[in-house]
Amino acid sequence: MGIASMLQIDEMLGDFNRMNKRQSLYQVLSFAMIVSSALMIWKGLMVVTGSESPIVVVLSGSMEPAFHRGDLLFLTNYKEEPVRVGEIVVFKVEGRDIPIVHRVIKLHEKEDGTVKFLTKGDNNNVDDRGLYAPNQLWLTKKDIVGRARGFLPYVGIITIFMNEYPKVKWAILSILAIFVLLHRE
Amino acid sequence: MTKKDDKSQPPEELVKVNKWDGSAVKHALDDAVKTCLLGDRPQLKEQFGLVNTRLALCALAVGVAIMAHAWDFTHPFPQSRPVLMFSVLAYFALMGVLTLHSSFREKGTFAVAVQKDKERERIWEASSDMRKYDDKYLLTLSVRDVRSGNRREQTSNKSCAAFIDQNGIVLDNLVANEVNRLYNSLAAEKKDK
Repeated sequence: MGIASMLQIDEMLGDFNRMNKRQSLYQVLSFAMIVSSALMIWKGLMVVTGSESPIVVVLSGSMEPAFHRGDLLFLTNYKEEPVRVGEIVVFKVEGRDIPIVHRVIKLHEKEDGTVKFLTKGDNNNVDDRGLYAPNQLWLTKKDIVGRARGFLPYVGIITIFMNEYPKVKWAILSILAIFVLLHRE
Repeated sequence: MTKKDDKSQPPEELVKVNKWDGSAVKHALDDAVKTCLLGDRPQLKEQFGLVNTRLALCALAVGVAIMAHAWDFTHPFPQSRPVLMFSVLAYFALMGVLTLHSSFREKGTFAVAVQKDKERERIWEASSDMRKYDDKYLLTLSVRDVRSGNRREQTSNKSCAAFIDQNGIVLDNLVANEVNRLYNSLAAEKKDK
């Protein structure tokens, strides 16, 4: 009894071959709806939290012992809430895609409410000026992706693994896609 | 006596399903019923209204999602907020409508056909229900007279094992017997009036 017959691939393919045009279209649309639902939930979270990336994974150990590599962070980015020293913020440096999760250690505030601040990882020896863009000494509100409001330990390790071995990610996604496309309801 | 290898016709493909997979069994039986119902009856013309509505709703929902994604891509987040909010609400509203449509309007119907004579127009509907882990295949055939609004139905509640053999092959002749029985009893009642 080979693996193929155990997974009943023959029957699934047979089912698929017998589908007429409308049923095939429905299979494709079902798959598209699964992807769209995930996308819409993500966009919905973006709208509700006000952050362009409401869930991020901690990629380095620079915030130990508070956050470890692989932790999942939930962010919000409400404009009304002021940035305060001691808060953990997630920011992106201009020109780089990767968000950084560090703590605010110094802050200057003007009368009109604009702020500039300096960050540093708890587990780092120096502040983040070395990470900022050339000639940039301070961060401003527009660099912030969000403030950490909650976290789940270890869950993000899957994301780190998939990003380090992209072929595994594509393989798993392809198998899932084929299964959804071929299986009726 | 049905002969499996009739040389005047191309050999029909035998439908084999995994007999332990409830949903595959139900779909295979639905297909068999539809083929038997519409196969030898040229007076019945299949209608796709229900299916088309469902497909249109799905396509619309996917369209909304694609549009939202494209808008967000070209207008980075804070600017796209109102469009995103509208799209998300619209998407989930459409999903709600789709669920209502399939639960209340479609309700297990897999074949709709119209029979038009000189005197009357009738709509035939075939629907089925098979509960999870249950072997009973409840088949309902209904006929509705368009002008008088009269609706009658006949049901058959047999185990799916009555139509599928040990190896999972769907036996079309057994399905056809059942379908013909339901169809003839509904058609005959009409003529008595």
